[in-house]
Amino acid sequence: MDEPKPEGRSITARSPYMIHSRFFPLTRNSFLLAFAVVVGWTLQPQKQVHAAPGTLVVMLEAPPKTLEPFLATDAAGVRISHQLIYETLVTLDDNLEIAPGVASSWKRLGPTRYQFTLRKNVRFHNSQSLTAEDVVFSLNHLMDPKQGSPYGPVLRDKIAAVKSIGKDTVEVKLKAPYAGILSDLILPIAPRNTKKGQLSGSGPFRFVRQTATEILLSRNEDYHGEKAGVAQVVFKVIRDENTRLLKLRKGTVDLAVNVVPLDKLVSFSRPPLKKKFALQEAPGLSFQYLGFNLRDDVLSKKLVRQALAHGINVPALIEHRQKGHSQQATGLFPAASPYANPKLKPLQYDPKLAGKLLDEAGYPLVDGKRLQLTYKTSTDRAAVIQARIVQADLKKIGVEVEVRSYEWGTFYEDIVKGNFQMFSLRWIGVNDPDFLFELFHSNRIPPDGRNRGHYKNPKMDKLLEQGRLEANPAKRKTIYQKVHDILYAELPYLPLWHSNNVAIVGRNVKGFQIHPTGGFQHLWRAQKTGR
Amino acid sequence: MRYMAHRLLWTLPILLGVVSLVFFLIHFIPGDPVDLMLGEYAVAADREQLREQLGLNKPLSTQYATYVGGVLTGDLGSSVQSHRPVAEMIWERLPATAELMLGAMVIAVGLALPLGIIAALYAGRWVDQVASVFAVLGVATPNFWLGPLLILAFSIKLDWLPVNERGGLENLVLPAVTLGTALAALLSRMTRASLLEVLGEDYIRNATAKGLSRFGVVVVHALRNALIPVITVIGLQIGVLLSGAIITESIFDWPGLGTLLLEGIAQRDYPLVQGCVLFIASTYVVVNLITDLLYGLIDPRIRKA
Repeated sequence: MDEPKPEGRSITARSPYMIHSRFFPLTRNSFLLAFAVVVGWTLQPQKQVHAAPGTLVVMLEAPPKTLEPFLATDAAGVRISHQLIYETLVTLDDNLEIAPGVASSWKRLGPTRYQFTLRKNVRFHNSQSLTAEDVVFSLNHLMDPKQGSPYGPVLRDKIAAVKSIGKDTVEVKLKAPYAGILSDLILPIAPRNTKKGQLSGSGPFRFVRQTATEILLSRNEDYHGEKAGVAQVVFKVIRDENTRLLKLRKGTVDLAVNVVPLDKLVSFSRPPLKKKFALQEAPGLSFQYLGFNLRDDVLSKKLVRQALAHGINVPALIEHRQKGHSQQATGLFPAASPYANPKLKPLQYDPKLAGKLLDEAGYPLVDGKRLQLTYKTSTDRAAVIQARIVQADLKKIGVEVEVRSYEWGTFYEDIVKGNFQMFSLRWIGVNDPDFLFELFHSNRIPPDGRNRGHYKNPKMDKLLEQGRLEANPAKRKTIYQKVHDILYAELPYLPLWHSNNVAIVGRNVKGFQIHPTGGFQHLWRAQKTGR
Repeated sequence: MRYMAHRLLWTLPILLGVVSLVFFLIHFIPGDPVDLMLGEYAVAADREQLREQLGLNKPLSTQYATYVGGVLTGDLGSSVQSHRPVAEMIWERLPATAELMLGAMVIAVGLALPLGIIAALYAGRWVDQVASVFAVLGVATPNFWLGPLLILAFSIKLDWLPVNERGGLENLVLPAVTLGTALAALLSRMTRASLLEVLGEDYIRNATAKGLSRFGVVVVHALRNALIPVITVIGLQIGVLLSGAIITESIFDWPGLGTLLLEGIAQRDYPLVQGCVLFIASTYVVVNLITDLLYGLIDPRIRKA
């Protein structure tokens, strides 16, 4: 191939305009016109809110699926819609006990009748007063199958009727006695003439607008309680983990809750992030566990399950995977919950005891091996690493574990169908102990329930049934402590850990306090000062 | 005309294939799609309701006919999570993706043409080698690495440009560079190779022999012909840009089709995923068609082939 010989003349000696005029003599104008049209279409004005002194910028890792109060179920949706724009009938306080919401008080009229007295002087953002009719409308709307609310099936299963008694009182009649109903009523109350797309709640913030990456709320100046500390809150959605860290480094965010992986939090203990942010950390409600299949010949033996529990170094796992930002679990609820059993102490890592238990169970050590198990997991990187660590721990006691990693759909189907020996998953945000009925009652074996390990114990069934009916809080706690005692002895699940909630709070933000649910219940208290 | 009709006719079965593939996507997913969409907390009634809503309780042939009928009328179904029409959601996000692609294309062409021309004119010299290194790095650098690196350099260290978000032109620079770099690298090599080939043609030697300036020979005679394959590649790369935009949008929180698709995947919102995949695949097919037709217009030999 011939190559041009350089002749010492520069092609930049002539005007670029000349190149265009000769090369595209006929199409230049039309090209520019087409370019202008396309640019004009694409560069639609984007309303961006830049952090003003009274504007709190809060980072989200994913956009809410919806802010419609009756449809929102994801973390971001519930936290913004139910906790800031709307208010719920009742709520959870910092001790995870049911506390007043729109209802200032309630009483149990009988095993199936609850009466709620509403707060006075509560107004929706559309200036309409909140009355008993709005509560009746909201609960009926949630239960109406035509509305497709995800909360509908649970409510329809339990509630027979909702009626107003006067302006400020609502009665909820149940189909059967059910002590956990108050937890199911942490639900938003919307005005009765509300239209789809209109977000008019009674919460401390009003909805202003939403784009694909941003949600803007403004302070509700007519709020019935103490007014919010900032005039505006902007939620910025930043999906990419690295970009979230870079954005925090840039310092254009004031607050972020549970958006940085626990193993990356170490960077907040040194400059430059330490100068800009303080960490608030509190035990959360998420519960990581190792599930066993009790229909399996090997795992049906309690001694084997106990041996595995002593053969896995959970504290080391927490240190390695969670960098210490988690608490070792003894049951479904963290220590802060009224339903935790404070008498239970974390199981000790004791490979010798594990070996002894396996000997007793009839699995002696032969050529360094006692038995073989399979551990199913999804392809999630963290989950696979966790499985490998468990595999390495159990190898030390002679238990060979084959880790099988599947695409989520296959993995989940296997778990639902009971096609596993061991697996690990977590439950998030469970606050009422009646959920244990769903997990361990013999009636709740799939396909209808979530007793996936096929655990059957008549004593447990009886306690869980009593727990459903017992309205006295103290007696209810006692029942569930007994439930936890049995679960800890029998180990159908091996409790692993409760991940902490971690808030990254700008040094210029005062008053914010993290809630045990990781929610925005205390966001209204946040105030912003000059950085 | 016959060539155009032929190409148009061929597009129809391809589009039908795309629609069918996207439809069967939901049926090929391991596990029950309803279980996957609703997650751990759903009860049996929830599952039945969603199965009914998506028509998954009907025979497959009925579902397929309904889906194809819907697609033909622009109805891509409704999002399981937000309950909004998928077509409306896609239409809302389209301008942002188009803006990003346009920006990436401008940067790619703006970088590639001068680099490619200089590399061809100085082939084998150090300038060419520098351009070659740029091309290799550009093609080999993944978006998910380049994006954060650019943010770190230009937003955090130098504080010249915003970290992310869609807004003015300054917001477009980093995402467009991230998305356009690989294309710039590819086009610069294409331009170089094509120009070198043309410069070896007899008519170029003839033009030079007639005493035309080197600039005139290169720009007026050589470049015009050399750019034909480059333009074809640009057309074909639009589909690649569209798929590359998924990663880039996610890094920069660009509110386009890519982030919409990722939201759909993260939320296991299959109607939304189906809609986005169908749109992206159809765009690819249509852009290919347009490129083929334009190529036919530019080069009559193709029409006759």
